[in-house]
Amino acid sequence: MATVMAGNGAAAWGFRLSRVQCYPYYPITPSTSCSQQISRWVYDGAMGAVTINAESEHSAASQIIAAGKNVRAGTATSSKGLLYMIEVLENAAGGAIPCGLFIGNRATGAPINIWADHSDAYAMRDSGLIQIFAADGQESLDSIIQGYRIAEDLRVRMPFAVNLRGFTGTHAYEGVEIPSQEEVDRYLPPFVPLYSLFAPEKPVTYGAMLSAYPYRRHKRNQMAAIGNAAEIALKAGKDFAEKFGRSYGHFEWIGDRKAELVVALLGESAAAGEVATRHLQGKEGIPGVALLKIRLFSPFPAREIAQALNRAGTKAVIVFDEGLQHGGVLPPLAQRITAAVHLHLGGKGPKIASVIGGLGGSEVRQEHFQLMFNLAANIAEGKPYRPEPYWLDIDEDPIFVEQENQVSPKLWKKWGEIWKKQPRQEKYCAPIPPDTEEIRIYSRAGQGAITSAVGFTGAGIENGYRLVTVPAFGSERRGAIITTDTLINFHKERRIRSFMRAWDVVILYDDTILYSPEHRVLDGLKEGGALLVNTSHMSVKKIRGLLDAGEGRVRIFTAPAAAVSEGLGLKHINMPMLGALHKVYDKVPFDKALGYYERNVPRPREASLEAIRRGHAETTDQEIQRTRKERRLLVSQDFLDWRPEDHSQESWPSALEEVQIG
Amino acid sequence: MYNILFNRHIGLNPHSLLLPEPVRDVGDYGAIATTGLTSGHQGCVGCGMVSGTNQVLRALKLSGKHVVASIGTGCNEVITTQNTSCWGEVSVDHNNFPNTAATLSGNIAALKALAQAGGVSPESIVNVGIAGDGGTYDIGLQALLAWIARGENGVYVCLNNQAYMNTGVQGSGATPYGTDTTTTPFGKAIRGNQRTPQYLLDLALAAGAPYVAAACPLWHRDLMIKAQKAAAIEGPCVLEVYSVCPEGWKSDTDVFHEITELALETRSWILYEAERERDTNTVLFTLNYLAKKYLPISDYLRLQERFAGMRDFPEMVRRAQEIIEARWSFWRPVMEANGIEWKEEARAI
Amino acid sequence: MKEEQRTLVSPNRHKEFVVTGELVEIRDRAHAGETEKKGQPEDKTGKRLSPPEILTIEEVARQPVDGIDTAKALSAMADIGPEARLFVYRPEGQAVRYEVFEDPRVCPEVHRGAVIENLKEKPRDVSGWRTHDFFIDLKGCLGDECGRCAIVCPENAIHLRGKGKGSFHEIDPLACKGCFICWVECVRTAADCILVDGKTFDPGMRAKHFGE
Repeated sequence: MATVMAGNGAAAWGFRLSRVQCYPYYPITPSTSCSQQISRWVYDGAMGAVTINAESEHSAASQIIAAGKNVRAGTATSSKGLLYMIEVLENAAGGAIPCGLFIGNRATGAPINIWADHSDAYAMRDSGLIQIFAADGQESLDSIIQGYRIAEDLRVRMPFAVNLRGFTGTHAYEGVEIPSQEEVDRYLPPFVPLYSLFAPEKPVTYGAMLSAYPYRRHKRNQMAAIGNAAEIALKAGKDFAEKFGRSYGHFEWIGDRKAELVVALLGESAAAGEVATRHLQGKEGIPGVALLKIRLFSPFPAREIAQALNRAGTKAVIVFDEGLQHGGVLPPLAQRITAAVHLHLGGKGPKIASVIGGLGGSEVRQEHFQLMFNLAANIAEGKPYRPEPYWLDIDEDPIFVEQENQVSPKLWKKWGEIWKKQPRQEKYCAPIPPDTEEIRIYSRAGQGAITSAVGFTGAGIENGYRLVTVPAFGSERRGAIITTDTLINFHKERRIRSFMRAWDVVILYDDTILYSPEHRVLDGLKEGGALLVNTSHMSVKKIRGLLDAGEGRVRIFTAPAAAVSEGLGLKHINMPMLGALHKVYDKVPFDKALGYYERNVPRPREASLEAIRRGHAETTDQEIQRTRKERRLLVSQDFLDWRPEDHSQESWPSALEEVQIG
Repeated sequence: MYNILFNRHIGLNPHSLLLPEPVRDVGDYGAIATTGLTSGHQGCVGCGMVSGTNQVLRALKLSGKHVVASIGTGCNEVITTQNTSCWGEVSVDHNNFPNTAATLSGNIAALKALAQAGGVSPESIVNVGIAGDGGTYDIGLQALLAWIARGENGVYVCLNNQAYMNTGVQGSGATPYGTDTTTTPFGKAIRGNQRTPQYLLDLALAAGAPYVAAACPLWHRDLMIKAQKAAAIEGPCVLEVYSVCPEGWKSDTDVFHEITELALETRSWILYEAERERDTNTVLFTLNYLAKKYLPISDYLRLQERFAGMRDFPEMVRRAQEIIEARWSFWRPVMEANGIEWKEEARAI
Repeated sequence: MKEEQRTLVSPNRHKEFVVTGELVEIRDRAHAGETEKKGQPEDKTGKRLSPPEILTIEEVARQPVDGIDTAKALSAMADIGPEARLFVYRPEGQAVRYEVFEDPRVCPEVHRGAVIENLKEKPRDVSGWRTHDFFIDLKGCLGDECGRCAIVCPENAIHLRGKGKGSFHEIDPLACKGCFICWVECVRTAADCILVDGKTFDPGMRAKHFGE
């Protein structure tokens, strides 16, 4: 039974189930809630680790490196925090200390940017750690457990890092299977120190100063040990599949076995790539396509990847990097794949082009992968291409240019000859028909929209669908209008966690959002989609008038959520709005969802349940009697203290409590 | 902030306000069974820092506990672990330059976790962090103060030789006023180090340390009592050891005794300890050594060529004297209680 | 004016800390703590950690390892070859885990993680550093009654030989760097029994250090 949680929560479960004994932490967005969750468990006595409230990432890293000599240690960080750790991280690898890191990948700036890309993971790639890229919460949880198994293997003894893309990975709520502690204990043996500091009969010295002769020999040993990690990772992944039913390898090959066109990438953006790949597969005039989703970045499985490309008869590979190598020839992943192909396939290998995108939280969408496959097809056909990286989604420097005046003369002078020969092909780029249904909530930060969306996600998952909820995150800004998106995937066997941005339902938690000049709430709403507004005094007609939208464009519903909540003494309007959502959107059956809510609603439970029921009952698309003027609710302290990170999980505990630490 | 009380008695004391039993007094004479570093390290001839390290380790081993030293980069680490280890029965964890206290903290946490799992008795281990003044006063201060603030149980020893000696005598936060170092050279426009040093033990007390002490290896009995107290007292204790450095201080290698004595007699190094009674937030200060001769600072400047420049500038010498007098005035209540005449100015020789 | 007195809270069983104004008098406590002390025998032995062992094929062949199937382990090691190692972890005497694995090291003399086992290291010979030779005159040395030279020596070069009367200190000629610290210490506070280059009296050094 999957439990709904965010990627960070899943990572925290990874550490908890691995029985991490020492967990120092220093918070940094977007990996913060992993550490928050672990401190919560430790402070509540649910997890038996020693935590250290460190004063910096540098110290937190020093502490896992010190503690990792004797016990299983781990921490989480992101971005500049990881950069601050790098100074000591080499000591973990050099000292053969198998500690673990979870990294919520984030841009490293300047300019400061708190959103996702892989700059931080790329910056640490020469620190000697095993680097695994996870694509969602489940993979993070599983990879952390496997990470300790790989890192502590006697043939390896190296630190590891599990990477997950910030926000779209770390803050995406979805169903995560939590294995039982007993199963994990059978998979992951207890930590054994190789050279303990606390063994009086064998005193040891770590971090001695070695001169050139022993130093170079030590480094050779270190490379041999991390090299072993590739083979051990395969074994660990295979064992994991046997025990838990989820298989992991060095990389995942998604799409056709014989694929002339391949897009290679790391981590979470594969979700959008998968949708595009599935769409293009088997289309007329399109050769075999595949997505090469690389999981093990360090040690890089060069031979295996080259062989896979060779087996598939690949003619062109587009390597998609979400980070840069400033002044380098190619960004890190492209560089590694190019080297792998060159070394292992020589002249017989596919052509490789590099694309840089997804920087600083830029969306990586299905259509971007369509463009990349189009580019691959052109290259496979022998068209010339750039000997330097392409840029994704830069209007001034697009991948395809139809007319010369679209770009500056300077760029045309440089790339015009290539652009002229590189056609944009409609068969690759035609819009993908939506295969999922999607709901967007506009609310004011603090209204509890994430809590209700996460609850809806849980109910949907319990009913056998795959749901993902991704809240928009940024700096703290209570009162600002934020969005929370939920995707409903009816294919039980297919993982789709990439939004089409075509909404079936748009919900406004506050009717004043209709007046916000920044937000055009009908944008992206499907033709004939539903708009649900929390209002006690606005009529459907008035809303229609305000939006200037006809009956065929949008179905409009109103829910008197504030009145319902006030009547029940609730401070949030999210529960009635949750009930109202079921009225508007009935694909997740209300009666079945109620069963989930009965077990899981936030306290006070009775009132919350009643609010859901009333919200459902009182939602209407008919004109209603205008009862009274809008009134503001009193704001309580717990309302002000509300944090999406901790409450959304605590409020929707579902199966959490069933898993006990033995 | 804390209330200040003074021990009326001047001198060393194996008893502590915070301990039920006195620590072992090794006495001025008598062989000590424990050893410090093993021989063959790469330290300079006449290194006072190693002498101090040896005494600290000997004192910590007296209790029969296993000593785990988390050491910072610096002379101490570099000279003892060059392709080998001179630490004998002591387990050593060298991490990096800025994170001695964080490494110490990690080892303390690991010990706690092992004790929770029942693998090892925490009483059988003493965790000590050892670093130089650069790694303590400057780059390691953040980690150190946070370690003290978290109240973890361990000892931190700062071997203070008043500059970055390992890297070629650059000025640190502990460098005295007027010193000629390679980064604060005694020039024509700017004459040596212009800042007055920070005082580590003041910072440690402000951060909440239960016990701090300043010692020197010349008075080994005092140093060894202090090291044992720091190990026995629950919480983060800080010990600062005066470390004569012939290389950086540009002195002869055989004047360890003379320099240390001059430092004590001119009161530029004060042997004292302070322990904190938590319930009333009172800090009890004990002066362990009283200068017998009250020599002027100019005498201290004499043996060390790092002060060669400032010797010729009376106003600089006067300023150095003022710094000492200002600091020493703290002890006035103790002096008066012992009927010792308070001298504002050192008598000229 | 007489100031009020109070006592500081202290677990010290022997002393009490009496405060008057800002001064503290440390006095002997009336023997209150004695009985309490007898009732609490100190136990400092505690549980100690045993590190795991990593054995080569020769070591396993030479001596069977208690508590594990040595023959089976040996055969697994033989399959791997000379790089095979047997890992045995006996935290409390009992083998809780053992595993045959291939040592990842290419250069076997450098430990994993460049860790050094302190007790296996031999001290380096630094006798070349010194420009004078130092000896302790056995007749003058006070032995274990003194020991001051050994305490201040930065080189751990001075060792006590024997016990009680007739014990004496000896300078390790491989370890001494000739810094004069022990010599000054001995002249100042003890027996003046350290010979420099065989001489008890060095007028230059004595003039420098003691004004003689």
